[in-house]
Amino acid sequence: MRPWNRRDLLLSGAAFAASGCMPKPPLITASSAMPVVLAGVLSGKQRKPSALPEGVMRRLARALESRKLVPKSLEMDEVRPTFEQKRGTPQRLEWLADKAGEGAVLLVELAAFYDTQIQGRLRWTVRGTLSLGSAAAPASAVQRTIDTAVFLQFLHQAEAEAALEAATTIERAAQRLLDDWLRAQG
Amino acid sequence: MLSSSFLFSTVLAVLTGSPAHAGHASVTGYLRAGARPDFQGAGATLGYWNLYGRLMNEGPYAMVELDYDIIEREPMAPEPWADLHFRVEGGTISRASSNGSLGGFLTSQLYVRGGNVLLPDVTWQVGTLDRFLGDLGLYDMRPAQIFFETVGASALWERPRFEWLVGFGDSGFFVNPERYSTILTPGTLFRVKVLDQLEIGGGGMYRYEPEGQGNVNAPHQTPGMNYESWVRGEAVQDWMQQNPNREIDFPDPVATDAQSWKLVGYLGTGGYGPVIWNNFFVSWERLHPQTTSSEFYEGSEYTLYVHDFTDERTVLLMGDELQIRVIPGRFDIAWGGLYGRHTDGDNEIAPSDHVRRYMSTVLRGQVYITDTVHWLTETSIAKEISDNGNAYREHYDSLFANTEGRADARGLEYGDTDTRYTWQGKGGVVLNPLGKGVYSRPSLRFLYGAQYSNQNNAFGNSFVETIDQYNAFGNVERHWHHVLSLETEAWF
Repeated sequence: MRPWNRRDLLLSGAAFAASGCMPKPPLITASSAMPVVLAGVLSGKQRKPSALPEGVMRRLARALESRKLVPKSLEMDEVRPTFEQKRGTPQRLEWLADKAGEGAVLLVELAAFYDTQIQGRLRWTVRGTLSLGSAAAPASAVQRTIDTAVFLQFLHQAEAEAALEAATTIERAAQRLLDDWLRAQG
Repeated sequence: MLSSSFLFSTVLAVLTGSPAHAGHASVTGYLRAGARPDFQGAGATLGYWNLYGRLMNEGPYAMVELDYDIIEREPMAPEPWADLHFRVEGGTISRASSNGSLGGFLTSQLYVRGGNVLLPDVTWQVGTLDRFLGDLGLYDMRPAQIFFETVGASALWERPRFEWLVGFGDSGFFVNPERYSTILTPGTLFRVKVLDQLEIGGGGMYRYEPEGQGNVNAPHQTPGMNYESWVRGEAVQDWMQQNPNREIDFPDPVATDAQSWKLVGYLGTGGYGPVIWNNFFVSWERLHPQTTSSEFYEGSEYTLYVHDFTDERTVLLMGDELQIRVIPGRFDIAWGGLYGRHTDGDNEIAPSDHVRRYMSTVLRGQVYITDTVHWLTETSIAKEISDNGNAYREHYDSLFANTEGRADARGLEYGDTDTRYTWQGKGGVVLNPLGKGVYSRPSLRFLYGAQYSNQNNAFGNSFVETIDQYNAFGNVERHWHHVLSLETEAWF
C-alpha cells in the first residue's frame, strides 16, 4: 500500500467538510414582525407547575425569532396562579390571548415522568402540547403534540432536566407548528 | 409470597375502580451493535473486559422493554397510577453468540408498579426489584446496585430531597436457576439530596438460604474432601485411593445454611464551575456460596457439595467518574477510576478470579466539531494483580518459565507473571444526531483502537496455545492489538 500524500489528505478533508454542509430548506417567515406571547409550563409528580428550563425557552424564542416573530416570554410568577386554577389548554389559551391583546400566543405545556432504570440510564417520558394561535381567535389555535423518551444519567436529575434533554424534539415540534401556522396565514 | 399477593391484589383493586386514563404503551430499550474488523483474527473486542473502558471492549447487546401504563399518571395529581414493565435482553445479534437464537435472550425484568396507593408518594413494586444509585458510564458498571437478582416486593418513598426503598424477596431463581432453593433477601437503599450540589446514598441487602434437610438443591458440604484436591478436580479420585473398594461409602453431604450480603455507598457532587457531576460508588460484598461442583471418576459423575470451600469470597469495588465541561459547547471530558479487590479466605494456593486486585483509570475527551459531528479520544491504563501466584503468560512459551523457571505440570500457577499491565487508546469520528454531550445518544461511531499488554495475546481469540511439537498452527508472540470499529449505541 502506498503512503498517503498531500492530495489524499486534502481530498479526505474536503469529504469530511462536505459532510457538514447538508442543504437546508428556506425558512418560512412572517410578512412583518409580529409579537408572540410565549408561555411555557412544566408539570410532573409535584403538586405545582414549574417553569420550563431556560434552555428550552431560549430555543423556543430562537424558533420564533428566526421566522420574524417577536417573542415576549412570560415569567412563571405571572402565569402560575392562573395556570394552577386553569388546567385545560383552551382556558389557558383564552387567558393568554386576553393578556396579549394583539399578535399571537404560543403555549407550551409539558409533563415529565420517570419511567425506569435501563442499562445505567434513567428513562423519562416527556409529553405535552404546543398550541399556537392568533390573540384574536385563540379557539382556532393549531396544535402539535410531543411524546418522547429521554435518558438521564443521574438520579438527582428530575422534570426540568428531562425537559431540557428533550429540547431538540420540542424545538423541532415548535418549528413545524410555526411553519404550519405561518403557511396558513398566507 | 403472602405480602406480594396482597400488594398486587390491592393495586389491581384500586386500579379497576379508578376513572383515570389507561392503555398508554411504549417501547424502550438499548442496543449496541456494529462491526469490529480485527486484522489479527481475534474476538472483535480490543481487550478482555471493561476494566480498560467499556468502549470497544464490549460485544453487541440488545434490550427491549415494554412499558404499559395500566393507569396513566396525571400531572400534579395524587391519584393512583400503575404500570407494567417487561424486559428482554441478550447479546445474540445476527449469528454472533448462540448462533442468532432467540434462546440467547433473557427475560430480565418483569414487574408491576403502583403509586399513590395506601400511602402518598409511595411507589409499590412487585416482581423483579433491580435498583441502583447510578452508573459508571465509562466502565458500564453499577457498584451501588442491590436486588439485581431478587424477585419480590418493594416500597419506594419519594420526597423532593429524599428517597427510601425497602424491599424483600427471593434471589433463589437467579442465583441457582437450575437448582432452585429459596434465598430470602431483605434490603434497603436510601438517597439524600443534602444540597443541590451534593447528595449521598447507601444501603445493603442480606441473603439467607436456609438449611434444607432432604433438599438436594439446598446448601450442603461433602465431608472428607481436601481443598487442594478439589481445586485440582481430584477430590473423588483421592478419596477413592485412600479408601479402596469403598465407593459405596463415599461421604454423604451434610446440610447447612448459607449467607451472603452486600453493602453499597454513594457520594455525588457537581453543578459548580466546570464540574458537571462526579459520582463515587463503593460496594463491599460477600458472594453467595456455590452449591455444587462435579467430578468424573472411572466413568461415574459425582456431585460434590462445596459450601465450606466457597463461603469466604468477598469483593470490594470502588469507582469514580467525573464529567467536566472544559470549553463549553466545544470540549468535554469524562474521567473515571476503578479499584477492585477480591479475596477468598478458603483459597491460599491457587490463582483465581476470587483472589486478585485491579485498578485502572479511563479518560475520554470529546470535541464538538459541529452540533452533531464530534471527535472522540479515549485512553486507559490498568494493572491487574493475582494475589495467589502467577496467572498470566507474558510469552507463548511461558509453560517453560513458571515459578523459578521450573516447568511444573502439576503446578497450580499459570504463566510466568502475577501482574498484567494494559494500555489502550481509541479515537475517531462520532455522529450524534441529538447534539452535544459525551453521553449523547444515539451515537454512530467510526473508531480505531490499539492495545498494548505485557500478556501475550491479551484479547479474546481462537489462537492455538499449546506448544506441543505436533501443533500444526504454530504460536505467535503478540502484545499489540489493533481493531477498527463501525458501531452504534442507542437508548430508545
